[in-house]
Amino acid sequence: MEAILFWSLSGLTILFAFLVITSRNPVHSAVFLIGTLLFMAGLYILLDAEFLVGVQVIVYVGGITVLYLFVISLIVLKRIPLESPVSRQWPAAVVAVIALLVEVVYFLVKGDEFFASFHARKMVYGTGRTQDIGQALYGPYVLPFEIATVVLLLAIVGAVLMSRKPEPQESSVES
Amino acid sequence: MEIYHYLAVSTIVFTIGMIGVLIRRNIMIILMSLELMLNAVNLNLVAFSRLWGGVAGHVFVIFIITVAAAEAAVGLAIVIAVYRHRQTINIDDIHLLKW
Repeated sequence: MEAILFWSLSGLTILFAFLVITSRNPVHSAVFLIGTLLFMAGLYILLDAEFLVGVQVIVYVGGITVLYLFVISLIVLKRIPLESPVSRQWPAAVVAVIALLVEVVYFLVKGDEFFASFHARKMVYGTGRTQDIGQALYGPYVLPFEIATVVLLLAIVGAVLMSRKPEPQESSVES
Repeated sequence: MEIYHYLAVSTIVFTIGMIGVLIRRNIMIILMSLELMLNAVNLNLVAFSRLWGGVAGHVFVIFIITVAAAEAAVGLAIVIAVYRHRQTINIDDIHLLKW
């Protein structure tokens, strides 16, 4: 049962991720991104991370992708010509991806005894209890937690500042 | 399922995101590919957290999601500002700093 769920979820995740980068219309890409994030949340369920599933669905699917769709609809799509999925820069992309693949395979081969220690361990169940996460957030991780609030505040201020309409240079309106 | 399977899925999604960043010209789709890469890293962290039985991976994922939200907000604000000034979101046309 778990194997069937894992293979179908991971296959759908990879398929939708592939569709995100190959579709010509940004709206389609955003919708496929929603699918990818939801299937990734399914993989989190398989990994016993129920709280992260909630966070993923609420923040990513409900927040970030909706933000993307808003911005796509703010930018008038008719004036943007649909681009070909493959640009003229693809040879460099192929070289970079092959370099990444070589690196991963190299680490997999060289790190054999490191990965061999995984064989002895089985996956631990019940690691993602929400109570434990909350106690960790307010216990040893309270400083990064506070810094995250500052980062969010700066992001709000920066987003409002940069996306605001530029005011006219000389205002001829006298009140 | 063993951890290898999750690591393999994470690697594949990360590579797809990297290909998307490199070959697409639409800046919106480049930002979406960045989200794909961040999600691949999150899956990696959750899988390792379950392997070693700690809660640190989950906390890291929460911080990564926070930073991803901030990144999306600021990045999309930059997209709107650039579009307002230059009427394009094709990154080949945004070359003001290029000699």
